[in-house]
Amino acid sequence: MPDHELLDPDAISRGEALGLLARRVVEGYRVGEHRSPFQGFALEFAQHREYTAGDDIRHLDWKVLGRSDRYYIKQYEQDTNYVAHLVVDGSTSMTYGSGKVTKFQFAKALTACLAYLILNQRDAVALAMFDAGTQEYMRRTDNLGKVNHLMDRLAAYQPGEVTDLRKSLEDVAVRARAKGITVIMSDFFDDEEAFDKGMQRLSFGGSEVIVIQVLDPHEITFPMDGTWRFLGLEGEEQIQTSPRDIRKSYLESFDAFRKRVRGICEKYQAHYVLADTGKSLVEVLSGYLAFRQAIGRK
Amino acid sequence: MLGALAVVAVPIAIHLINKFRVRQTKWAAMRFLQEGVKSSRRKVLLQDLILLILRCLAVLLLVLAFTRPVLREEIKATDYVDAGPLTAVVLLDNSASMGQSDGVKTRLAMGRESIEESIGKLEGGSKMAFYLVSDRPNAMVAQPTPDLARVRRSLEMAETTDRSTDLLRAVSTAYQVLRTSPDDRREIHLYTDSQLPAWDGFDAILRLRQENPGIALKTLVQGARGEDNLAIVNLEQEGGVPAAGQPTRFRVDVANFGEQPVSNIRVTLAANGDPPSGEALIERIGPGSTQGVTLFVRLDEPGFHTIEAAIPPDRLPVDNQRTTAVQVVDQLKVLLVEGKGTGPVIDRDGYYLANALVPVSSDRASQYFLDLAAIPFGQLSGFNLEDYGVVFLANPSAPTPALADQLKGYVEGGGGLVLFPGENTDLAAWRTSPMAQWLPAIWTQDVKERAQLQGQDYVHPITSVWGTEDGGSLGKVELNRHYQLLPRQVPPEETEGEGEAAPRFSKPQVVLELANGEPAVVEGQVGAGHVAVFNTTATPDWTNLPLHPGFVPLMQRTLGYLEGGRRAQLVLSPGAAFEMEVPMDLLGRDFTITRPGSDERRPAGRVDLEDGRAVVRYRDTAQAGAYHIYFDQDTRPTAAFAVQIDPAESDLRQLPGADIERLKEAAPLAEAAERPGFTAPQMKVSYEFWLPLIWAAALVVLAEMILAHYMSRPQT
Repeated sequence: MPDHELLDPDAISRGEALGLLARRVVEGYRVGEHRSPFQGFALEFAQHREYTAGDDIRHLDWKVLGRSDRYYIKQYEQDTNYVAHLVVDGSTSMTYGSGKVTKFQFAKALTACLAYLILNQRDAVALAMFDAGTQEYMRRTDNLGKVNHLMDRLAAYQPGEVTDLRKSLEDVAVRARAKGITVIMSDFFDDEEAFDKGMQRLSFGGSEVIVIQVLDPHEITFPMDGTWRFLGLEGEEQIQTSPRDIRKSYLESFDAFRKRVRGICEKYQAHYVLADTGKSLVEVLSGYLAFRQAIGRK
Repeated sequence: MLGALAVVAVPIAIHLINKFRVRQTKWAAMRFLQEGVKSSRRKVLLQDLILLILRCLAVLLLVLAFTRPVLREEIKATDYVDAGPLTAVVLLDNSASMGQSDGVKTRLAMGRESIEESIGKLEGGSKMAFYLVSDRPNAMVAQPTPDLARVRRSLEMAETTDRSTDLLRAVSTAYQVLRTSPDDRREIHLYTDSQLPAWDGFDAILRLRQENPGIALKTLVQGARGEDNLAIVNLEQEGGVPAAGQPTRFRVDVANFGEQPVSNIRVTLAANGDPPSGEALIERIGPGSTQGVTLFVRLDEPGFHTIEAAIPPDRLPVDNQRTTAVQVVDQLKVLLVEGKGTGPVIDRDGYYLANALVPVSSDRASQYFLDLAAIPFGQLSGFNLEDYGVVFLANPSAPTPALADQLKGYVEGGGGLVLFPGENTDLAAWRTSPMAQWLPAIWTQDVKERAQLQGQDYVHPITSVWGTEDGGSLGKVELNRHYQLLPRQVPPEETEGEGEAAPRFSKPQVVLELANGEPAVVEGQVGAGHVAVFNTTATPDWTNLPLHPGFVPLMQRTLGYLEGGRRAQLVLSPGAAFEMEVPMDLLGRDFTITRPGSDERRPAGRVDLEDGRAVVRYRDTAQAGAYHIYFDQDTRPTAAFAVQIDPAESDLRQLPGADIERLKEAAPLAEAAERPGFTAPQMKVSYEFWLPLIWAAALVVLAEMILAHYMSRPQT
């Protein structure tokens, strides 16, 4: 099955199917990979162990090798067990989609894949769904057997109110007491100051933050022609206009917004990933994971 | 045009439908949309406006193009040969001046040839009416006809007349004819020598032209400018009453209408077709000047005589001679009515008058033509005035109503009345008398101040003999006292006759003035007679006039002027009817006439009864010269009269060419379009705009496309 066909809206709405989707994506990814991209980052040194074939030579302790002529690998405390907080924006703005999937559906699929990937390498996953606040929270679990339960919760969630990023991220920061990775999936159509505050709070908590901005290709390129009436998803007043006439100023404004979001990410040393829902899920996921692995080798 | 609009509207409608078909979508990034709308609203509005204007302009230009707008301009009457058949009224001037020759052809002949030539150039379907015009239009072919052969035949018959010219009347007639014509190209072609006096109605003609822009007026001038002409412009009997056996005085005026002086002009005078009996030589007449000579003819037989003056021939023959007619009397009875008719003869009020009227010695008085009788004023009432030609009232006291009626009846019947005031004259009684209602002037107040008669500028026929180089002056005549004269204000309706009837009164004329401009003698017509009123006495009591050498000719000329008023009008203008009362025994009898240039007697009519009078009437007087009327085989004419051409016909100066152009190019009057009978100008298409409009529309559409493309391109 081609990648893009994995994203069937019906499939995403059912937990079992969502799990199957995640497994296929992840398994497909792992065929060529032997190492988790989430392993060993910014974690404290725990012990040495003897090198065995297949270990990443970047983790060789060169000092020990120099002194004793023996191969030892450095191991870190979190290397084997960390918590990944998957934070998904479930506000109404995420329900937009110019194609067959909405941004929220895309985000859910992406979340499922990440959860499956992380649980599969025996790390823990916690799930938070928010809009004006945290609406759905699933405590951390490292039990792969609970993956189906997680998928069901994810699939059953229906978007609700408008976004309040600051409040939602603060909630997540409070709940994610342990250091780990926080992956935020949202369109970030709240004001940037709220996002900045939320990021600040998460960073103080010591989490590594990955920001995945989920956007529809129409939002990115604004390609419509003729006269359109736009109905706001979060209670905004409707606008009737000719997109051709305002395309330039819209795109300028939208690009500036993305730059600001990216700028906030850089400020708090968070990875910024653009998830274009017009692209395939695999392309988005593998693109980022490859980038992450490349970063990890340095 | 509506179809074209519909076709043009189709793409616009499609565009508008697309423009207003609104699609709907839910949208998350409303915030950026709002910012985009806000920032681009003004620009979008401007762009939309520009595109809207361009599209509207394109539609407008296309619609205009489909209406095929054109620039039209009036068709100028430049030539006969123009596009399309022509309907023309041709007016050929045949007034006396058209007899002027260039040595080979007369102006009439030139006009005839021009018309002939232009008929040959007419396109098929053209129509033509033809009029000979002088002082009246004479329809040869009254309505435009395609039968041009008929026009040609009428043209061959065209001859000059001795009539004057009235171009206004001719042109008005032509406009009337053409106004009712339904044809497109209508023109009036006026062939005339364009004499300046003939254009007296120029402004009215110009107005006609402006009121009828659809009918072109083309004036084709015949003859050259500045041609010389010497003419007799006046021949009249002067002085007193023409009497048998007495020398009768005639004045002949010769005018030089050329641009060069003329010398040694021989003027002859002949009576009744006989050889000239008198002649005079005018040494020199400057250009544009008139010189007069006085000649005498002795007419022995009482009755009607014709007198002809002649000068050497030139290129306009008709004015080289001029004829007048006079009625020579055998005896004229005059009544002298004296306020003071008793006492010594020299003290009587009529003494000086009697001597002036019969200026011959007492032994010859009985042979004198004038039979003078005198009565006191008291006997006038009831006196039979029927036989008297003129009645003089000297120093009358007060008229009774009966006397006023008697005198009025006498004057209205053709009598002459002369009034002199005096000591006996009761001013108040005259002012309140019924006579004040019909006398040409009344005495208003007694002025006892010294005054003099005018010394120059004598214009009235009675006094016109004075003021000339050899005529002397009345300026030395002094008045110690006079009754101020107030000329009567005659209502206009009384000075105009009804139909053919003569007017009842004429406007009073001042015969003589005082040096201060106050009237001294006033005369006027009352019915068939005339009345003259003096402001001072006929005796030396108030004035030295009776002692002045001028008194005799003044009285003679006054007598002649007043007595002439009762005779038939013997000098006519061409075309005027001659009419004269004859004895009743001639009633019903036929009469014959000899016309100018011929001794042949032609039957001319029968004596008719009119208002209880036997009247001879003759109308065919278009030719200038002498006419004699005979009954049976009489050797002497029973009546004679003369026809004289209008002196203006001798004036060959022409209307300036610029004015002819004004007629041709006259702009139509805006208000004329509202009037009935208005003829719109004939227009032709001089330029069609549809092609430039199509090109302009294409350019606008192209500009719109480029701009629309530029504005709608991806602006990223």
